[in-house]
Amino acid sequence: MKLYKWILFLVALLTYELSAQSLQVSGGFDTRYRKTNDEPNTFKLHGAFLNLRKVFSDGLGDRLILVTQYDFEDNFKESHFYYTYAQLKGPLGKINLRVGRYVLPFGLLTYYDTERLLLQTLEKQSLGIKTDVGAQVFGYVDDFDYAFSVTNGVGMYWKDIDENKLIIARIGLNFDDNKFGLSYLNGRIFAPATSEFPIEEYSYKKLIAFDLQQYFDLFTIRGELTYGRVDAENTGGGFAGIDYALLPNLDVNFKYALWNTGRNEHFIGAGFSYNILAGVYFRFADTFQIKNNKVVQNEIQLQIYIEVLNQL
Amino acid sequence: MKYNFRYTSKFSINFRIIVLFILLFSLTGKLLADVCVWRNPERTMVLIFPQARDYKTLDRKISSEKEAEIEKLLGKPLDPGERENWSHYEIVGSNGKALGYIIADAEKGEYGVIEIVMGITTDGKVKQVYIQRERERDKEFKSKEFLNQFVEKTKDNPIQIGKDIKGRSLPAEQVALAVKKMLIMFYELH
Repeated sequence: MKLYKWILFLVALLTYELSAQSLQVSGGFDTRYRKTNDEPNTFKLHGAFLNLRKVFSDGLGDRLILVTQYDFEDNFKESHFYYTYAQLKGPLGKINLRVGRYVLPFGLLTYYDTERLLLQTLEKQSLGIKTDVGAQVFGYVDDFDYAFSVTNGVGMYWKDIDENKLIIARIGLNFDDNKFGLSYLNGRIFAPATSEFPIEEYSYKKLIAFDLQQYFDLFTIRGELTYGRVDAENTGGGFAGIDYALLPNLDVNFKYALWNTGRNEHFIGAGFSYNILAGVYFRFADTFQIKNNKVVQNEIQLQIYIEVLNQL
Repeated sequence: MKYNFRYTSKFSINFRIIVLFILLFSLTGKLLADVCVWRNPERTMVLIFPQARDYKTLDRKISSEKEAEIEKLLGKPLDPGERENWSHYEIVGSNGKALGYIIADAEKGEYGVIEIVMGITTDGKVKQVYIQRERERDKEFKSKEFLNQFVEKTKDNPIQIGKDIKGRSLPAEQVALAVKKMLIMFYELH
């Protein structure tokens, strides 16, 4: 019997013994106007997603959490499961097992996924992928959290294309206003070409990253430093992002990122996010990609982002 | 090395239409996402209930009659995101018995959302109020002196800033509103 059939069988067996909470259904629409210096202007539904989450409990606590998110991209031309996993939860979340496709626990990505934001972090340069298929053990002990993940290293695809696995380990420290983390990654990654990032890449990566998030007065500061080897080359970079609450419904956002694979690439961006009403945001960002002291891309984006939540 | 992969999924058009249908169906709900994102639930649970061994999610649907009743008791309408469903968490001790309950709420402050987590004992009294996240300039409402005033309060106790609870700022008023709302919802829906 194939692995996924075993997983389905185990899930069915577990859910038979457990009581189910209501099904949480959420969805989002990400519409963008995009103007760049090198491509035609576009106005389209950049993305939409449907997320389903179901929790099953026994007499002592939540035991099984099933989560899936299906994403549409580019005016519904592309679609895929962004993540789909089953999570067995241990007492008070001290130890959890997650199996399926999930967001990789590396650096800031562990808790800050910029998929639907205009100012992006560095994963597309550093990892090449954000989600992957595999298994991870993670949990929380006092102020610490940890994660150990083994995945196929092939991003959006379900099948492993080689015998290599991608291993990630992370340890984090959480306080009320700040958190820190140290991550290690080792393995071969196939980063497929996408409409947004058209260069496919297949490389062996060994990276270490330090991430932090700090709430300070009206500022939210996020940072990540990454260093390591991609194939035979030394590589590294950093990301710094600052959000400032100008008004109750208005944040201004800034980012600077640097990535070096033999030569420096700089990413600079500024924008704002206006919360029009509950679940509806209007966002603007102007970003620059600079190589060899020359702006290779200037991108202006306007976004209307709507998020809905319901329970069945 | 090139691989003949397609980024676009191989899922049939029927499957994608079904997913899209569910997505559009979810829009028919009145709810817009404006709920409190609970950042470190396990950590907060142990802060409020140090003997906690585990927790269980409890979801409740809110009927339109119940919604009206809650709004009447609260004296103001519920926010979008609070009107149809409500979740809270039962904290379980080592003997398998409930130690209490945890509820999270979000209210608008002067500079953004104030995220509040509250522990309630099994007999319906406030155990502790914890401010998870805020961006306010006036920090009076985060002090232990202010938050401890809510301890032992029940749904029947008046919780009015400047009268029953010492405080003066808008965020303090919003925390008091959150405590009152969470107590009413607990009594009405638990």
